[in-house]
Amino acid sequence: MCGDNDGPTPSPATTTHSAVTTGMGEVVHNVSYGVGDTVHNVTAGVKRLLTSPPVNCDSMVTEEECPGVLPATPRNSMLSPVADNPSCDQSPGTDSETAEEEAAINDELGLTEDHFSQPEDNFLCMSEETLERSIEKCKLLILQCEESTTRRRALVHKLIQLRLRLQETHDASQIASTGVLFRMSHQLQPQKPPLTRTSKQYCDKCAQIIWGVIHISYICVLCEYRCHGRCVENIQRRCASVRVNEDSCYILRICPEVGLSAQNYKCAECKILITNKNAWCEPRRCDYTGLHYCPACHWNSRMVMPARVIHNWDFEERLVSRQAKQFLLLMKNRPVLHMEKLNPHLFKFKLREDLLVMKQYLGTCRTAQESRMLRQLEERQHFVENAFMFSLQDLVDVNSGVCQGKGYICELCDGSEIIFPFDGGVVVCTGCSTVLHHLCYTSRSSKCPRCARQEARRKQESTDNLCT
Amino acid sequence: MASRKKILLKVIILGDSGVGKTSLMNQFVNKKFSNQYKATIGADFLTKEVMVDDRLVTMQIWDTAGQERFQSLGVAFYRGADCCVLCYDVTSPNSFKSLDSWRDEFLIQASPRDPDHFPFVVLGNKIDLENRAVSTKRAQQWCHSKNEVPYFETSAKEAINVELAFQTIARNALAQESEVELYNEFPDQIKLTNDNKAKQDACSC
Repeated sequence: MCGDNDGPTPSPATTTHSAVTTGMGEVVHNVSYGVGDTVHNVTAGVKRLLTSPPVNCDSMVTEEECPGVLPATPRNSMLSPVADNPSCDQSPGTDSETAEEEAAINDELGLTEDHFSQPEDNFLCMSEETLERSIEKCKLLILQCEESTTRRRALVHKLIQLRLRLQETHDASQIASTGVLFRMSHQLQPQKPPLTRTSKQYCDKCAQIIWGVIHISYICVLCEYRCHGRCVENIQRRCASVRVNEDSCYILRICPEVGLSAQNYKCAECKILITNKNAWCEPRRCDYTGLHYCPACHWNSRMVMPARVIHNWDFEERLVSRQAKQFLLLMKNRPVLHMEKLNPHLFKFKLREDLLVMKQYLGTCRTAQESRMLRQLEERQHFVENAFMFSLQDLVDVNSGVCQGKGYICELCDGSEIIFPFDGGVVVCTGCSTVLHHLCYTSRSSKCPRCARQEARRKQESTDNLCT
Repeated sequence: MASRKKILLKVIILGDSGVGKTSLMNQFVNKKFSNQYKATIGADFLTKEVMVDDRLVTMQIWDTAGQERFQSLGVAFYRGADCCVLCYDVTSPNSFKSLDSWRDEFLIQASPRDPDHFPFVVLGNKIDLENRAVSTKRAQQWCHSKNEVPYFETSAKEAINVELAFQTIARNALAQESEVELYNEFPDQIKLTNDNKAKQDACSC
């Protein structure tokens, strides 16, 4: 929806496009204007949202103990690339035990993964036979261990995950016949030759321009990875949607940098040599992963960093690699941040004023105008269902002001100030629930202009009816 | 993206171990039955495409291990389910009694939007056996008390009622799915063209 027109820019200053959109306004916009894709996205996303329950305390405990495996088949994920599914916070600190458990299991099964599973991990490129073998192995391990232990739980999860993966490979071979390519979990659809986009497109693999007329190009329907037809075979980046669907959690340490030497002076993604001596291939640091990338894998895109928001209330956009950007874009609307747990101080002192009023507002909307407001809220279903989970987008919105699209403008004074029912010094009309400044209201004989207007219209209509 | 709209229904089969969950699923999907008992480990699923009122839907039927307690499958497993099938064995009163706890646990774990109207289907399996212990009436009463849950008596071995039961499951799951979609319709549209004008002009007074 946004931020996909920034190319591999040489300097940070030239990256013009802002990746942050103002939230609720956009929702409304999508819903009312969207045709085709947008609406479909919203629809599919909401389906997921509506079916995902509020997380209560009990289930919180259980969820916390088990790694968030979300059964996602390609069908699911195809429908809802931006779907939200509130899974509990899985920051490294809180479930280290389970994480260790899972890592141990991965080891036993011969599978390893890190945050953006690197290409050398064969988990994703596994053939059906290997998957089947892993499933059998997993089943054996389950039988060997005792009931109701963390290990068993993690194993069952792994099993479900593997089975879904297997189904995915099955499906992949089926869909492949329709011209869609599958590489590294991407679903690459051929782009039609006359590209309708006005902005230039760059190849995510070789970082060169895709000339719509000359080049055959593909785009991943899940994460918008796009590349030349000739680059398809060399794709090294795994589809961001896999990570998002299977384990939606952020790196919540601020820029966990390890240093270029720890990476052997190689790009974290494509393993090309990067040194400070070579001006053509300078190392670029990704603020999200803390790793260094080559200019082809890091286009100086800018994103808001979840870790910085949570710990420092810092909304400045930082430079991130392409893979981090694709991941963050998909994660943006997911309520995966358990604020109270991650940063209770923030919740107490800063957010209490900002968020609670917003929530209260949304809450009143729900009871007052169930039918209409709820629909506009659909992308934020988690708001009305549970009090602690936030998506990064929510935090961004709080910072940039509550959704302005749903505010009111006092009809009595001509000020352009946007007011909300929860603001101080306002009154809410009991008849039509419009919001007016308290001062304006009392000074104009306590009459609501909107009610009066509606009354007049009703009269007009009734006389019209009488005439006809 | 939008053009390829496939409907995927997630169906979860629950019930005590040995009531025939795997057999029912196998009978429906593969039309096969085996007398040999083999406990399911963890969870497994099969998919089948079915036609429901001239709509092609893919059913993803999750078979769970009866011994596996709920927590081990985790919230994520239950989430997004479109229908829940509760199975019991008509020759085992205990498996019938535990329907209550399976249902409650499911509702806790999946916490669907509208728990009272979430589509459940109850299957009383093994009606081909002679030593029946749970009467039809008793089962129907239970289903009645749980907000008119559809009830079927099946036999995975003889393939009695299996097709019918899964058709109902698919239909109910689809209904649940489309109900969810209702929320996604456009909000009230404001039409900018004014139809009233013509009306007013036509007014003869």
